[in-house]
Amino acid sequence: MSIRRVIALIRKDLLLEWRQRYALNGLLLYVSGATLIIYIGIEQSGSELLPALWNVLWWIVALFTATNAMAKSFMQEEEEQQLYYYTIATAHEILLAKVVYNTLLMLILGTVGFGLYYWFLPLPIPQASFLLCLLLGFVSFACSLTMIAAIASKAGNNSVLMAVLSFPVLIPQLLMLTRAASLSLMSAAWELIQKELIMLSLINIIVLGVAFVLFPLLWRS
Amino acid sequence: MKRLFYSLCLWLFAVLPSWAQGNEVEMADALRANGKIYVVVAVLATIFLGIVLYLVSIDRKVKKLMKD
Amino acid sequence: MKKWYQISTILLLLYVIVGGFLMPVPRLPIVNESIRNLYFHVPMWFGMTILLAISAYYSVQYLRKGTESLDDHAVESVNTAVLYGLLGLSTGAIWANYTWGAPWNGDPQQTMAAIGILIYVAYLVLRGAINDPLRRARVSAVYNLYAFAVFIPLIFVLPRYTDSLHPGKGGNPAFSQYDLDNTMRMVFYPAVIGWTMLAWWITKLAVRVRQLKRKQEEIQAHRQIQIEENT
Repeated sequence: MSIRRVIALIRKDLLLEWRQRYALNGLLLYVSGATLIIYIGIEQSGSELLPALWNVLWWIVALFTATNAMAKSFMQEEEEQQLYYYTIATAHEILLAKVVYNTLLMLILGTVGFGLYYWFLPLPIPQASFLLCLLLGFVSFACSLTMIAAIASKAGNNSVLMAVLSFPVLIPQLLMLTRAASLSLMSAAWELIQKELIMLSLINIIVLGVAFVLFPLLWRS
Repeated sequence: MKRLFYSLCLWLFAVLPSWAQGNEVEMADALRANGKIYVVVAVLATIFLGIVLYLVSIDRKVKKLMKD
Repeated sequence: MKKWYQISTILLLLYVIVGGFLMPVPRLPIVNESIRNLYFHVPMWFGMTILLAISAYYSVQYLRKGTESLDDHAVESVNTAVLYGLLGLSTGAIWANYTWGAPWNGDPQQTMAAIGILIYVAYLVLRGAINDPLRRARVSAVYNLYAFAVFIPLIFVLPRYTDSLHPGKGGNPAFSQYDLDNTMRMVFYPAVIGWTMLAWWITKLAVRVRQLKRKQEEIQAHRQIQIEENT
């Protein structure tokens, strides 16, 4: 495991992403489209958006954005290119690079997405802990979806498969996220929110640990 | 075959509760009588039916194998 | 399947059904006699979890050794586990309807179990999506282990620290602490063992069918080659 190679891999991914920005733009369009639909729907119904509903809707938008963003994290690697990576970097380095890159991508997309969502559907956020929930949410999406994307790419890069595989696996994290976020919107005690967030981090650590053990087996096939 | 089995299970899963829901409010209906013992009967019957259906699906596979 | 295994499974389940209906149980409000479902509904979850653990074990073994039969065991264990899970859900819905008032109460344990089943249905979908048998076995073994790592906190950890309608939580009468000590354990433990043994029996049956099917396909392919060589 060499940090320099990991950084080189991350830089390669970032460069590729920057060069063919259409993927990034597409995702941003996706976020804004979803937000706009929610905005129009709420406007039309003429009713008020409750904080609990606002929260759930945001996490659904975030979830779909994340699945779409992560789905292509292994799609760029075509067979020959993969063989080439195999010779220069170990599986662990590749996974680490992908996780870090996906986290960065998720942070950017999530921040912009939430900015849009907040702009269209403003709601007073009483506690800074909501931002912590957002941050941890983006990180946990990136952590667990990277491995799922690798599995889906080995199964022929089927985007339907990506959704089928990732949703059930993500539900536990999503449940804790929505609960923590809605607690912080209700300005609940910090201890309550902290309990959820610690639990979430523990699940993330388990998921990442398992991913590190399993990824070499997957990569070799 | 498997798909048929799963859809059957789903059907059971969807129909049984709604069939049970029809007599919800009153306490005097049959399944609540005798200290709710018939609930246990219904549960055991469901398990039995589910397992038998699964076995039938395996049986069909074997039949297909025998034919070839 | 050994004869003693089959006989002991049958005897255990016979004892569970007869004893489950006839042995004395504690008198509790709300659940009344339906407390006997402990011998039929609860073992479904135990059986499902044990089978999934077995499946995870076979997936590890497959990744280490790469024998096809190990993969067969992993899939069929998941198949039977999903069957048990669906049975657990539907029997739970019946039971819940008569004790909690509705088949679906948004109870965390119920929801988590449904999600758990969804995860493993996704495993079966993944297997259907890959054509190459070697790759299918390998990729699905990896997903199986990943799913198991998510499934364990899902079933055991998450419901434990939220409010549930299940016994012993949220003001429901508990039969987990002292009531179970007396007579119910005499039936409950055999019930868990018996239903799990039955699940394993079914799994082995399905595995053998799968292996026969593969052997037949091999023979047919072999014959085809011979015919082509002759002509």
